Amino acid sequence: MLRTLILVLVSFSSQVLYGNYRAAQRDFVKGNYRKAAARFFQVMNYPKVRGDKIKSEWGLARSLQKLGFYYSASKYYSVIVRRGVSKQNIFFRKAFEQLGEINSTVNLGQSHIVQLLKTRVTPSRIPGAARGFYFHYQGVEAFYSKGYSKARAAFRKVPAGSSYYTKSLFYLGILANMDKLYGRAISYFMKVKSNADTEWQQEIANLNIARVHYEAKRYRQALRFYAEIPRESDNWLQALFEGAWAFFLMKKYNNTLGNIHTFHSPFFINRFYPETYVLQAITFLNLCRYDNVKLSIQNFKKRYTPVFKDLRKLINRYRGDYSKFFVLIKKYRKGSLNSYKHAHAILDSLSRRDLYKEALTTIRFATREIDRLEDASRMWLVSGLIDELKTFLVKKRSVAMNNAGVKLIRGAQESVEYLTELYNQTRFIKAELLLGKVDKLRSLLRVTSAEKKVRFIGGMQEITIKSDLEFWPFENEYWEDELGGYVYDIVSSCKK
Amino acid sequence: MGNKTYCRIVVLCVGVLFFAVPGLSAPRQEYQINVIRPKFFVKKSRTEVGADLAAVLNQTFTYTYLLSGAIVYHLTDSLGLGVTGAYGLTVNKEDRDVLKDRFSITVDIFATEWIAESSLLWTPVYGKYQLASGRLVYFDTYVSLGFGMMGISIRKKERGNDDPVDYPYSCYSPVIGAGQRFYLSKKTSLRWQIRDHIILYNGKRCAPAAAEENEPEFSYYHTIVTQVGISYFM
Repeated sequence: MLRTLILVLVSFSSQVLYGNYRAAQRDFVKGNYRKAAARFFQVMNYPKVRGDKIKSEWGLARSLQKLGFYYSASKYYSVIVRRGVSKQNIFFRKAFEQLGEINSTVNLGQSHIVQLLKTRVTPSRIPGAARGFYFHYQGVEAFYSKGYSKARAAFRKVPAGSSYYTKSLFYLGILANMDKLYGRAISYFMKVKSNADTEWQQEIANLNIARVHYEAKRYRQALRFYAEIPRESDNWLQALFEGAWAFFLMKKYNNTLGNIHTFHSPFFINRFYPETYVLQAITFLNLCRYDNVKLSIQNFKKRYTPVFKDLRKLINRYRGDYSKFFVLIKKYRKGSLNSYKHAHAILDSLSRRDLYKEALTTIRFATREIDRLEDASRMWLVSGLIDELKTFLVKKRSVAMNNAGVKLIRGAQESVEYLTELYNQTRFIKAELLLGKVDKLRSLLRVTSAEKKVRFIGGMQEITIKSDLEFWPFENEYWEDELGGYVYDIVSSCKK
Repeated sequence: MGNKTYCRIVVLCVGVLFFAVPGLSAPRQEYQINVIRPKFFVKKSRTEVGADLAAVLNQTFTYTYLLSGAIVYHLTDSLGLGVTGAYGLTVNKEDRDVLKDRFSITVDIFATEWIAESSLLWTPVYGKYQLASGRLVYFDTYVSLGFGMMGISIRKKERGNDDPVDYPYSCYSPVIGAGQRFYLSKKTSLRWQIRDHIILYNGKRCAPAAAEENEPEFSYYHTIVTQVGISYFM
C-alpha cells in the first residue's frame, strides 16, 4: 500500500515538474498562444523526452511570434540557428526563414545578426526564403570590414524576389562606383529606383546617381539628379551642398555662392556644414574678391571655434560611457538638452545617422515588449518565462545603446578631425593671401571649363525658354520658401 | 542765431540723416543676391472658375445681395479674360419704411436684379505674406475693365399717384474694378473684389410717368459691388 502510494506520488510530481509537450501543442493549435508559450517554456527547461527540447524551442518561438513578441521570438530562433545544420536540428531552415521575416518587420540589430552569421553553414543549406537575409547581411558585414570582393559576391547571391534585393543593389552600386565602373553603378542605382518601396530609397538612389555623375565629372547630369531631391527630404541639404561643389567645378560661381547662402541662414543654425565656409572662401578667391575671402574665413572661425571647445569637452566626458552619450543625443533630439550648446550642430548630425535611428528602433521595440510582459499571464510568471525574456530584452536594449554610443562617439571624434582639417585649410588660405601668393593658391584649385551655354536658376534647375520664373531680391531677410533658390549676381574682380 | 549755432544744427541734421536713413551709412554691397525659381502659382493657360457672394455698397435704402459666378481664362500670368453673371435679391432697409410711414416720403429705389458682363483682368502685382504661424500666403492684385449689362428695377412714384411703381430697366454698363486673390494651394484661392458698374440712366425714356419735368435727360448712377468668394483653377 505504502509502495503504491509512493509510486503514485512520484508519477504525479513528474507530471507537474516535466512539461507536457502535447498539451502545449494543443494550446498552440487552438490559438491559445499565451498558454502554449508557458507550456513550451516548461518543456524546454524540463523535457521528458530528448527531442522535446528542440521541438519546444521552436514551439515557444512560434508562440511568442504569434503574440507579437518579435525580439523575444528571435532569441529562441537564434538558438536553433546557432546550433547549425544537423539531423537533430530539424527546425534550422524554418528558424532561419522566420528570423529573416522578423528582421523585415523589426530590425534585429547589427550585433544580433553578426552573431547569427558566425554559424558555420554551407551556403547551399540556407533555405530559399532566408537566402536574401543571409547573403545581404554577410555582404554588409564584409563591406564594413573592407572585404569588398567578398561583399560583392555575397550581394550578388541575394535573390531578386527577396525583400533584401533592393538594399543589396544599393551596395552593389556603391562598390561599382568605388571601382570606377560608373555605367554599372548607375544601372544598379536605376534598378534601386525602379524597385524602391519607399520615397527614402528613391531619394538615396537619386543622390547616389548624382554622385556617380559627379565622380565621372559629368556635373550637369549630376545636378539634374541633385535637383530631384525634394525640399522636405532629410537628404535635401546634403544634395544642395554637393550641388554647390558641382557648380564650383563648372565655374558657375554665382550658383555656388547661391547654394551656400542657404546654409548660412538662421533656419540651419543647428546643421553641421562647416565646409560651406571654405567653399565660399575659395569661390570668392576665384573671383578675386579678397575681402570676401577674409570675411568667409572670419565667419568660419567665429562659428566653429566655440564648437571645438564644447566638442572636446563632450568627448572627454563621455569617452567610455557610451550608453550615456546615446542618451545625451536622445535628449538633444527631444529638445531638452541645455548644455553643450555650441556642439548642438554635431549632435544634430549624429542623430540623423542611420545607426542612431536603427538603435532607437531596437530600443523602442525592446521597451515595448518589456512593458507588455508586465501584463503577461500568471503562468508566465510562475514558469520563469517573464524573467528570462526580461533579462534578454534589457540586455538587448543595453547592447544596442552601447554599440550605437561607441560608433556615435567615434563620429564625434571624426567631426573634430574634420573641423581641424578645415581650420588648417582656412589658415593656409589666409597665410597665402597675406603673403600675396594669390595666383599660386588659385592654381591649386584646378577647375574644368564650364558648359557656358547652360544656365541655372535656384533649386539647381536649368533655365529653359518655357520657364515661368519668379524673382525676389534678397534684402537681409530669409524666407523659408526661398531657401535653396538663391543665385548671386556677382562679377569677377580679376584683372584679365 | 549765430553762425556757429547754425553750423551745429546743419551738422546735426546731416548726421541724423546719415545714420537714420538706411543705405546712406551702411557699406555699399557690390553684388546682389536674388531668388530665381519657378513660380509657385502659374495662371497662364489655366481656367479659373469662381463663385462669390456680393453686396451692393452704395444703396441708401435697400440691401442688395447677389450670388455671382465667374469663368476667367488666363492668357498669361498677368492677363485674363472673364465672364461674370450675378443674380440678386433686394431687401428694404428700415429707414425706407420709417420715412414712408412716419413722414410720407417715398424714396426712389434702384434695385439691382442681375448682372452679366465680360472683362479684361490685368494682374500687375504678385506677392507673399508671412502669417504669425510662419505659414506663407501668396497673393496677387488685379484690376479689371469690362462691359456688360445690368438689369435693375426702378421703383418711383408716378406724378399724381401716391403709390410707387416698378419699372424694369436693363442697360449697358461699363465696369471697372480691382481685387485680390489669396492662394490656398496650387489649385484654389480665396478672392475678393470691388467693382463699379456705371449706369447711364435716361429717366424720361425708362419711366416717363414718373420723370420729373426738370429731370436731366441722362444721368449716371454708380453701383458699387463688393464680392468675396472662392475660385478653383483647372
